Amino acid sequence: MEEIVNVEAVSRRFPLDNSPAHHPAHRFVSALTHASLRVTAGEFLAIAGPSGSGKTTLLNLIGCIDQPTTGRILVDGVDTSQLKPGGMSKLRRERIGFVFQTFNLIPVFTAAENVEYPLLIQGVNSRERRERVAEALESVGLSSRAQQRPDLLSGGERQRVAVARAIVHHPALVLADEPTANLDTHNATQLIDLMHGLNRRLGLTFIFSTHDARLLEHTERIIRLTDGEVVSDCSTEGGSRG
Amino acid sequence: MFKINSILRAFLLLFVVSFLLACALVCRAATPDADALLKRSDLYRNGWPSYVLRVKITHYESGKADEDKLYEVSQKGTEKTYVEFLSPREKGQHLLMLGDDMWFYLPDTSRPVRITPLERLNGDASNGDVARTNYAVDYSAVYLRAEKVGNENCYVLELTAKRKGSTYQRILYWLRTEDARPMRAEFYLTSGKHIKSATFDDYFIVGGRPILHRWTLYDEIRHNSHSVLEYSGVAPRELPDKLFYQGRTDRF
Amino acid sequence: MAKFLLLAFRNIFRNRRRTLMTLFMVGGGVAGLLLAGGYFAFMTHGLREDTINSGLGHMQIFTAEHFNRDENRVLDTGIDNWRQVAAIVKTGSHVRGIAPRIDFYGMVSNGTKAAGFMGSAVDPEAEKSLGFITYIESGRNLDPKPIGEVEALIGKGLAKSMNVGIGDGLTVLAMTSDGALNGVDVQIVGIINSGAPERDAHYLRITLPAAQRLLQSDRVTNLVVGLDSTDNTDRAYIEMMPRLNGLSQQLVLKKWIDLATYYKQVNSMFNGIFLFMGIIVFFMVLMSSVNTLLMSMFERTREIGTMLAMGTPRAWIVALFMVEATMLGLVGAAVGLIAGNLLGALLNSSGLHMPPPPGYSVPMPFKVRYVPLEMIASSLLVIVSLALASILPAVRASRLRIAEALAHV
Repeated sequence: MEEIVNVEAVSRRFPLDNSPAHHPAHRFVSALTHASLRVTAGEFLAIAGPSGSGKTTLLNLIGCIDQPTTGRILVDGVDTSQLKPGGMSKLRRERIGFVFQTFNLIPVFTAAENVEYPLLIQGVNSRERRERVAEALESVGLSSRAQQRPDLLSGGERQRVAVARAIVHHPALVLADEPTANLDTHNATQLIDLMHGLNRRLGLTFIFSTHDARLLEHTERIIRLTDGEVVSDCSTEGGSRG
Repeated sequence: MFKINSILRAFLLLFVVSFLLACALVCRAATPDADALLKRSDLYRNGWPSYVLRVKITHYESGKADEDKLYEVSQKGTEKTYVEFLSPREKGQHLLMLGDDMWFYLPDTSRPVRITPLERLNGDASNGDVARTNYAVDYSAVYLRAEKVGNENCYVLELTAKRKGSTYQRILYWLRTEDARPMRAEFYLTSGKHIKSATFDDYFIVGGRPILHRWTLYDEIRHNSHSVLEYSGVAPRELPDKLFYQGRTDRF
Repeated sequence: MAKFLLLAFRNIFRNRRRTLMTLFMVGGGVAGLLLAGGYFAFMTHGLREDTINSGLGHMQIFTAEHFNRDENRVLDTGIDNWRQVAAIVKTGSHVRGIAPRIDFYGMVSNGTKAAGFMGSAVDPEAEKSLGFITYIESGRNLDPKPIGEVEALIGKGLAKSMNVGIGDGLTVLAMTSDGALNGVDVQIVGIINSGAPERDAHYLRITLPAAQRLLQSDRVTNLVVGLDSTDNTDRAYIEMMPRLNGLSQQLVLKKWIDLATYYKQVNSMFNGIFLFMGIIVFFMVLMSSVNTLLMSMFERTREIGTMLAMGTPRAWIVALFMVEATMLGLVGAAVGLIAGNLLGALLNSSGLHMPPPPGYSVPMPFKVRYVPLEMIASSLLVIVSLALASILPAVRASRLRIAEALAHV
């Protein structure tokens, strides 16, 4: 099975003041220390841990939204440290889908138009866009709400639109940072089940982060972080990998 | 002793005073009377109280002669002059001077035009050079010095205008010492600018008197221009007052 | 592409109040420029027609020599055979008629005093047929065929200095074309008050035949051409030019605009003021928009972060913001155009009057003209201003660090 993500001894430090990084008096905080993990295609895994444990940082690094201070990350076989900003943008555009805690839908676009967005920036022609948008909305069960703007959708519906958006371009990897944090329990579990279903049906690799233990019940693999370090990496099937 | 000293002193004093007086008298007698000289010089240009003459003015521009212009001047006393324009193109025009005023008359018009003596008549000759030649009446004279013009000894007079109607503000006048005959002149404006010079070239005898025959005016601003004025037909004549009538047409 | 434009357009109306304020300001700027510019255009147009109708005409014909040198003798650079030239000109397209003119100078005398004059000689009937107005304060205009004495019009200042009135006489002296002095008695039939005191202090006008007798010449200084409409000047000019070739004298044709120095000065003054106003509007729109655009960009930080995270090229973000601002400018310009034109129409029918401008004594109606060029220029001005104002916010937006932006509140 191909490796979708390979995180090799990655650390991410943030400077606390404005002095340059090489200055001896430089102070920093470590968001992530020496983290390593590997993800193979088609996995459905969670990154768990309390807030401040580095979950978002790790996801940002995997998603090429941020650069590691040390170590390197390979996404879909590509060494991200070798990429120029344009290259990273392209990688995200074509290979990665994002779901955010705060939904982050474009308020002036309808649900369908929001879902369409990743195809738009890839230059896909309008007919093909229409088809794939319809497909994606169907797979999240929101075909009937396609023409509604986000302000007319419920929280759960909005997040489902976000998921549709994240998968419409058939990425190699979907990253979801605390996708259920702004949903009630019912919608939260529904969303995780939805993602799980998509993972099984379409074979899409999902990595999501959460601090809610209840959502971890049906997750095959859980990576736990505490204070920026990977403390455990357990699969429910076939033992730990940490 | 006493008496001899005082008598001697008295004599000395008298002697010194007489000497000084004599000197003064001698000096005064040596300085010529400018006004008298001026009056005498005018006789060469105004030989009789009432007379006529013709003047032909030829203007030269950079050496090239323009068409001659002919005028007949009738002068009565020092206050009345009548100048008739005789050239074919100027037929019917005339000029009248009365006291300080001058007018120009065009044929077929009912009104004259007020003019000034300084305005040009023809070439470098101003109206005043032809119609107002009694300098003693228009100028007060001051003796400046003696000078030679060519081989002739001359007195140099400085003339300053004393009338509203005088042609120039100031004239430097060279008069021959022996007979006050005008030899040359320089003419100046109120601003002090030296605008013209004149040489009095030639004299002839008319009725037993020496009269100016020809003189030349030189433009001192544009140095390539001069005008020659030549007199003829100079004779005394009785002139009626109605010739100097200020009104219009139908003169005779 | 179309979707992005749609996105930009919809983004404009996100914050209704802010957009309305910007539209108000932009629209106000455009409307203000249109009204001011329209008023200037009205004044300039009035001056144009006044200048032409007070005697300048639409075109004038001179000899080429006239511009090469000054006259040595009067009319020595004048037009020979002017009737022949006039006949050629009269058949030109758009030509309404021609008026021959002589410019000359000399002295006038009232018997006691003489003064110089700069005068002209005209054909009163030709002048009238071209609609040229003479500002006669008292008396009447010249009779084209007078019986008896030569008639003259004199300027108000000259009448005063010569102490003459209607019915009085003056003697006019001038040099003839071959250098001799000539004079003629004239009777004053009218006094001209052209509004230019310096001119009226030395002005005299007689009929063309009288001048030709006085100056001993059948030439004229120039021929004034009147057209059916000022807007046809360029067309008539082009058509007329070749007609004047091949004549015994080399003639030049001048358009009114080449001869109307005062008009040109006033016109450039107004253009300068309009430009200045435009610059002010430009900078005001720019300065206030930068702030509002920065604010709206700031509010969309997380959204921009999301778009960047999804792989939108940074250049597209820049483009999006700039397109939004440009569209806002377009909408604002449209608002301003409508408002400006409506207000203009309102003012035109309101009967409002402004105090008389310099040189006139009658109050001027406040009217506004519609100048398409001004409308386009004003619109472009505000659009460009907004586009420029958006550069800073757009570039800032594109340079957001994604992780930080996403974490933004």
